[in-house]
Amino acid sequence: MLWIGIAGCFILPVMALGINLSKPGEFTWAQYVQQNLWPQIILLWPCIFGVFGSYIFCRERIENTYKNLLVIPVGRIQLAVSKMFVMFVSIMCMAILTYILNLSGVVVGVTVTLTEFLEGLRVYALAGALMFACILPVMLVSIMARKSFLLSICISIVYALASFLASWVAPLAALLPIDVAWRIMDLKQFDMSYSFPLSTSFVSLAVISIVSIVGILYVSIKQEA
Amino acid sequence: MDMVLQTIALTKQYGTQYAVHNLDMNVERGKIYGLLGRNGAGKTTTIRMITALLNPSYGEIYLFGEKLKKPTKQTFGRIGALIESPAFYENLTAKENLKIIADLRGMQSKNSVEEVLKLVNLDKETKKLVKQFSLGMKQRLGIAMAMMHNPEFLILDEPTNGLDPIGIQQIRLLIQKLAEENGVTVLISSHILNEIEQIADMVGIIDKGIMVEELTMEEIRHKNRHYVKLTVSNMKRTIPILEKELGINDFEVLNDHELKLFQFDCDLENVNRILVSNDIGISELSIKKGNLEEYFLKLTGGDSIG
Repeated sequence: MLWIGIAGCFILPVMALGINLSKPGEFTWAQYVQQNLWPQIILLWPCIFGVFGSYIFCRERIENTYKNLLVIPVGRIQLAVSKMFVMFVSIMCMAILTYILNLSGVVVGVTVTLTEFLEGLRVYALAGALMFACILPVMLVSIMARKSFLLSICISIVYALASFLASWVAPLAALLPIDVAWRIMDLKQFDMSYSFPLSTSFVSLAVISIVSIVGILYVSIKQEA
Repeated sequence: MDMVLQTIALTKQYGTQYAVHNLDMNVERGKIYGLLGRNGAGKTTTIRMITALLNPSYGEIYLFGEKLKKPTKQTFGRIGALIESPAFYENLTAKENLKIIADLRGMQSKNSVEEVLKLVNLDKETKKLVKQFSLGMKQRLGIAMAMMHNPEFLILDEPTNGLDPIGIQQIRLLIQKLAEENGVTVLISSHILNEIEQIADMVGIIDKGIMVEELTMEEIRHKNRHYVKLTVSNMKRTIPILEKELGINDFEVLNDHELKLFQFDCDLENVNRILVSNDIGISELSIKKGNLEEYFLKLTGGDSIG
């Protein structure tokens, strides 16, 4: 599963390379990495991170090793928090790897200074952190679905597609997690309209994330092993 | 009596169905307790409640004299458990799997893993990943995982599943050694009566979620002592002859033609002669030994596949 996540990091940088081979030197570094970032946020990352996160949360139950930990005992909350931490670190690593792979843009004439590189790194790290918050509802559903890993995969894909379509619906674009992340990143690829101010979007993302975390912890405690 | 485990009216209900119902169980320190039951009787559900993997619907569980509310390191650090089919991280070796558990348990001794692997004859499988293990090897690794930290109370849910006869014997001897030499209390569940009969000090027979009977092996042996099985043509005439002419009172009528005689000081030749002289046909007169299987079948019906 780790290799699938890593392979996913290559997709858009390689595609960007192919697309821009005929247009060398057209973009600045900031433009180049932003061009790769918006499809990551709205489509690719929710799918990859959703599946990866579901794997982290569901694997122990599917393979029945969960009980070995509980009889030690390792606390259920401790386990859930550990898994969320691993998921966060994994998402951040994959986001940063994706960013670093953008350096392949030098082949098509993209130049970058150290300052520009660090600024881009900050943007991708922020995107990764936001993605973690966006994926939490999918994790909650994965845990509730218990051993149905296939259901988790389907939910991740539907979640990503629904968010993509909702980005053209002003009220939803201001409230749904992935669309909020896109708005916060301010990638300026498209002219979007939102029914609510940016502060409302922040609150929406925060509330959904907190509810998801509380839900994950509650289900972890209550669910029978 | 010092009880390591006590359950009082332990119940697990799913909707209107009872997986376990009002179960009282008492496991004495230093003894081997055999939890016997058919498939689906409630053995694993009971063990899962004891190890806090399932929340009971009603009832209480006392471990080492304290009521079990939530698992703590103080209590569960003294318990080792093998529950259902053993499960491991399949992309790791046996040693790596045990090392993870040892680290989580905070075990200081570096040799514990090697020692326990040697005990279950897995010390030579250093490079093999667990996914390449046979069922028997996984079962032995599960037992090793349960025993690794020298627990006071060992809970083994069908530990001999998948083992060959030699493996079964080795596990049996190991359990006996742990109980006798180290004073470890063992709760072992099984549907293989012969295995339980050979090692258990105490037996709890569970059927359809209910504890049918809980008794010592001595009591079971007494209830299933040697007897003479008589198959006669006319039971109604046989009984008065046994009682009045032969003075035999210790017997049990099984059906219209079969009975068990427990009184061994009687002269069997004389019994035979007197019954025949009274025109009672005898088609069988044999000495038999009762066993746990017969007793179990008698208690649980035993007329359907479990």
